[in-house]
Amino acid sequence: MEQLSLTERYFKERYRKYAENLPLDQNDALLPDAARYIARLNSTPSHPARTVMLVQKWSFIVPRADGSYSPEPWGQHILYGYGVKPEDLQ
Amino acid sequence: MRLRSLFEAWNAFFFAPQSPIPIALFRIIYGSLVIATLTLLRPDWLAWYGPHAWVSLPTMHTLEPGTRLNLFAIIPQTDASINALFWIFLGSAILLTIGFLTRLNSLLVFLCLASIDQRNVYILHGGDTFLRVAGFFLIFAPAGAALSIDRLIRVRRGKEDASVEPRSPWAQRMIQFELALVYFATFCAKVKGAPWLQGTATYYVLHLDEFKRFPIPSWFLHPLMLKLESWTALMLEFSLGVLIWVKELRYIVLTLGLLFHLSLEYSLNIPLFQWDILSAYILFIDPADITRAWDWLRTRRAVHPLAQ
Repeated sequence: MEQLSLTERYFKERYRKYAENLPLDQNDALLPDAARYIARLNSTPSHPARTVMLVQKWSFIVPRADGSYSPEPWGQHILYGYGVKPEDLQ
Repeated sequence: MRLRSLFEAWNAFFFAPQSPIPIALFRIIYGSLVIATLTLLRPDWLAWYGPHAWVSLPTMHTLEPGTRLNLFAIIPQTDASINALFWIFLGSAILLTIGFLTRLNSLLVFLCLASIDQRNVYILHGGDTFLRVAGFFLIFAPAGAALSIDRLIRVRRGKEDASVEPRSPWAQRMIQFELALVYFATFCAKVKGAPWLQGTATYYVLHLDEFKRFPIPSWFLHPLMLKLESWTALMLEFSLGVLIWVKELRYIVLTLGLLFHLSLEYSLNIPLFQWDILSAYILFIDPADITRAWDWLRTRRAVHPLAQ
């Protein structure tokens, strides 16, 4: 979202909301659909996607001694891996 | 106070006829917001709701089982039929806004709005839910009784005269209650969290990069100011849920609420949320004050050099 223009952000906010819901444990069932969608987006007939890896990144906001707060460095982990089947690309 | 007088006050509050101007104005704003919502969604109609959407219909049924008011579940899962549903939805929202076949279109808009909400609940914000619930009550409200094509037709046919007849406001009252409940429930949820009570919550909100919109002055982010902002938000949400019902305080509370939402609209990128909520403020304005404001505007327009 941070890389989009103000207008694009206004149109694409729903993607931020979706991405907020995607990593939650109770929403695990969303992950295969998301992986298939990404596979279709990134496939061509000559170069079909074979694997999709969803990577989650985060940064904690922590209080400092002077009462202010600062974000910590970014961390990341693999949220989900999916082996794409030919029928996923139909 | 006697039980009988309490009962009479209850009855008068919900059913004593009043001018339908506030609910008609709400209909226009509401319809415009639905049109804006659909316009913002337009590039992604199929990405979110199509046969190969980010969340498929079977997955949605698995995650949210049970009977749902969802037209997507009964129409053919093709790009053409999904697009057709959206165009019907958009057309209906336009007709609702101008007040043509108001009752029918308020029903259609509610059905379609409920459907897109149920088809993908993972992309919604509070404003979407607010519009959906308000849309249900709008079906029963005399929303086309004023400022509408429907009324124009009735007047032309001699079925109504120039003065707008007062109507029962119970559906309008339900939307007012909905708004007050939104604020009060938000207040109750926030006071359970330590950051809101300690006054640090707004720091986190204003430092989420993906939410940021326009730049905020640095003094606004001073720890003392952040505490003040967090506590002010709590007080405002309590006031908008409770004190809004006190007639003497209503306009003060509404003005502060308006400023609160405008400041959020400036600083945070949550498209249409602030406007969705603000739309119902009009229902708290006394119809006599709306008429006075309209007359004042007309007088000003009449004396304006461009209007002569």
